[in-house]
Amino acid sequence: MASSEYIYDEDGEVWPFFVLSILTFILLPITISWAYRAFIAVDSLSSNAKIKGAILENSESVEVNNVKEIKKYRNKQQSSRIFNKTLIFLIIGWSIVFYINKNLTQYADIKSIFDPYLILDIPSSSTDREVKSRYRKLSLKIHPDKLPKDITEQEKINMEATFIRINLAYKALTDEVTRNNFLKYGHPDGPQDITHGIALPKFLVEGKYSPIMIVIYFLLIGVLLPAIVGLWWNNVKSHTKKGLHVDTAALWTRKLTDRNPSKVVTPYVILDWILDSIEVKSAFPHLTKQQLRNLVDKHFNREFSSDAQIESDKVKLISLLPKLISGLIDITIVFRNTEIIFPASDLQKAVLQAVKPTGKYQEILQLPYVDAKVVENQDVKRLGKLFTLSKEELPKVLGVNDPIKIEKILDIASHIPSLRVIESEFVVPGEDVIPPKSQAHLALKFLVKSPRLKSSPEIEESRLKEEETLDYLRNPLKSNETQPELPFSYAPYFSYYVRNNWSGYLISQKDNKLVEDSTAYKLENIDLSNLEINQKEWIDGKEVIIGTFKIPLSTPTPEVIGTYNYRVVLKNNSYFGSDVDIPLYLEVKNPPMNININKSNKEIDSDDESDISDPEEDSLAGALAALRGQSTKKITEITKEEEDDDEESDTESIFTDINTDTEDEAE
Amino acid sequence: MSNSTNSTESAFEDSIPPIRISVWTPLIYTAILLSLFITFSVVYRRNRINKLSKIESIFGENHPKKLYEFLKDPENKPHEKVLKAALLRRCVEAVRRTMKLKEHQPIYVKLYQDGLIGDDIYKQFEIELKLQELEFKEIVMECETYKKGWSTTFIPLTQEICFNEALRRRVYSMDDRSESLSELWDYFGDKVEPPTEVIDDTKSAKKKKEKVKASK
Repeated sequence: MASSEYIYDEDGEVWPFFVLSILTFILLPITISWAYRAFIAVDSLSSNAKIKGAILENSESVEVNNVKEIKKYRNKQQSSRIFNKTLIFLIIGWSIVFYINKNLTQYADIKSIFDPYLILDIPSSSTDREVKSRYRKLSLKIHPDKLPKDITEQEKINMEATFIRINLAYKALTDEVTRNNFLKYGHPDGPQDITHGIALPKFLVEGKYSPIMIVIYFLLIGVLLPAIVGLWWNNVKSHTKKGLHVDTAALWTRKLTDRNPSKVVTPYVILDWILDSIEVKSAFPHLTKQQLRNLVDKHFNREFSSDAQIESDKVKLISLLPKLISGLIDITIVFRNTEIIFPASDLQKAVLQAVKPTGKYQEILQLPYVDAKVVENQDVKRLGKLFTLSKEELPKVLGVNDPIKIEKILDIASHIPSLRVIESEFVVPGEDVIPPKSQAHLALKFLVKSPRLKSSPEIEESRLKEEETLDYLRNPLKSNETQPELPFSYAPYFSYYVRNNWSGYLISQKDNKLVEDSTAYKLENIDLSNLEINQKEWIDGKEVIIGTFKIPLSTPTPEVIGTYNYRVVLKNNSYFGSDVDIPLYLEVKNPPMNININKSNKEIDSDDESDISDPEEDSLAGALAALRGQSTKKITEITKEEEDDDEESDTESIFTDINTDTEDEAE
Repeated sequence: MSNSTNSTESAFEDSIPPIRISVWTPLIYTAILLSLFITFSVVYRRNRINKLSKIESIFGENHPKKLYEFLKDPENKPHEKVLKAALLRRCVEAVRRTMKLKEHQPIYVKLYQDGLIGDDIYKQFEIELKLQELEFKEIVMECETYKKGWSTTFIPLTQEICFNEALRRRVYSMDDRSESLSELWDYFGDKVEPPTEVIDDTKSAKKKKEKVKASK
């Protein structure tokens, strides 16, 4: 009787479930991701309010002239995140799910599922005694012998069937054999018929609908499947991993390959390259390159036109640029060409802040309300200098007369962070020096400084020292992630919100190119609390928070001992005057032979226990020396030479002896 | 249950009438299939080659090569020295291109591996490498027609010319550089100053250094 073969599912009982499960499997993750994108909108102000030292101004509060267009653009982006193709797909998908659920799955057979607790109507945690008493009560009520006489034949049969089921259920819970059957096969009678079968309903396969079915099959396998795969593959092929159009990437790669190295690449050259991209061209087929260039220039000069079409084009074009610029930087990084990376990142800042990428006054010009003509005709170029000026001088520098506006300008300026690097060194975790062929990283310690603050506090050495905990040794770069996240940038003239960050580039001084295999190292987590403290606390230095940034060296340290020159450049993505550019040197040394002895010596000084082990080591060393004779002598000579260099005391020669011996053994 | 299965089985037995299949059927089937595949691959390849040939070359037009071919044309009969000079120019360009390609080969490989560039440009790069090899072969052959064994001195000579020109390009570009850098930094000091031919180079270099310092 018991069989588990494949049986044709004639009534089409199973396929609705099959379709349901597949549909929900596809629809659920898509729905979640869609909802996440649509409804978790990022608002720079509310998010920045939670971050200490963030700038709490945006296009509206600064009253940018084209705030309407920017808002329109944002709303459009937001609504396109809600009303898109995915939404249509989701609606169709879910309606199919509900339709099937309502109309086609009602006939699911639950009778065949056997749950003794359900039949006896008791909780599944009941004890034997409870089961027995319950059974007795039920059997008193519906035992065939005790049924009332006035019921119909049909009812009688039903009652008997129920009684049999109750009996079974009771047995399943008490009798050994039936219980085993129940546990093993899910039914007290032993294995039941299991039918596997997924099939289309009969009316579709036979009868007049069958040709339609064949056509549907053909469309599904012959047309839809290849079309979807083809579309997907085409999309993969037409865009690079970073989402650039392949032709754009090819264009830039060609330009980078056949570049004349003697020509200076200015941000405007980069802009020309960007405007040549397929993305820009296809987004603005109605504009010539010169017109596009003029739009960008207008943005740089903070000029606004009364023509709504021009303004909306401008906002659209400007919002395209940063992605393209970072795409270009991604490619240039592989070329290791700093001469292009730096103007490109300057261009990015200029786009975000609506400031010309060239000239000397960007630091002042990036502030709101300022009059470019006035600013460019005076001498103050740095933000820090702005805070040394008196109230009478400020309007002459900024070209702004309203004291409230000046107040706002100063507030924003004081929150533009710059990094004051106080220590920068290459570190190999667990080593005092940098041995050859080791995995080193560059550790930068810096203070976030507001332009408002003057000079620099003295920081005790002990605060800079990193504790070599186990966690640190496992992943020395972890501190990059543990600091608080940077806020959204203040960029009121730009259309969407961008998080502030620094990109770190490690440059080899030998050829003035990026270090082989290195990338842009993003500094995205910094505590900006220092921007809020006052001058006294700053100079005092106790409240000052020290930031760290670690850059892993992409390759092991050089094999040859010597000093190697590097340069590290940190480029901010949105503010002028926040960049860092410092020279570094990497000194590769062999770890000194007696480094262990130094440590053990210190231990001896501090620790009494190590005194006990001393003679043991001594005798071992003596014995080994006696065994070896000549060779040990040679080695001690060498070590002695080294000692001369390091100026070590006499007693340590014994220990160096041990050291060399152990090394010999290793050989 | 068993009843229904029995009935379907018997239905199966009834419904299979002996069908006669001609010998040609599988042959026609395979023939159609094969011809479909072949036409697809031919069309696809032709498309691809067309597409590749349409792609802009990594380097612009090869003027020295065109010039040489133009001079070589039997209609124009220039002096042999002119032809030799043109060949030299052609080879210099070939050396420059080959060096650029060789220098950038690991970069292209990495770009391609990282998925930063598409298939087309990478394919084009490989083709360009092969083309340069062919170009060299052609030049050497041409070279041998003028004088047997000339190619042994010819190639090193062109290399020297190439290096020399690269150096010259850098030296001559100083003025341009200073101009674009002064634009970059909004620094028009040397535009106001009267131009002094001899000192100008070192001056602009100095200024450049100063500017670099200032930038830091």
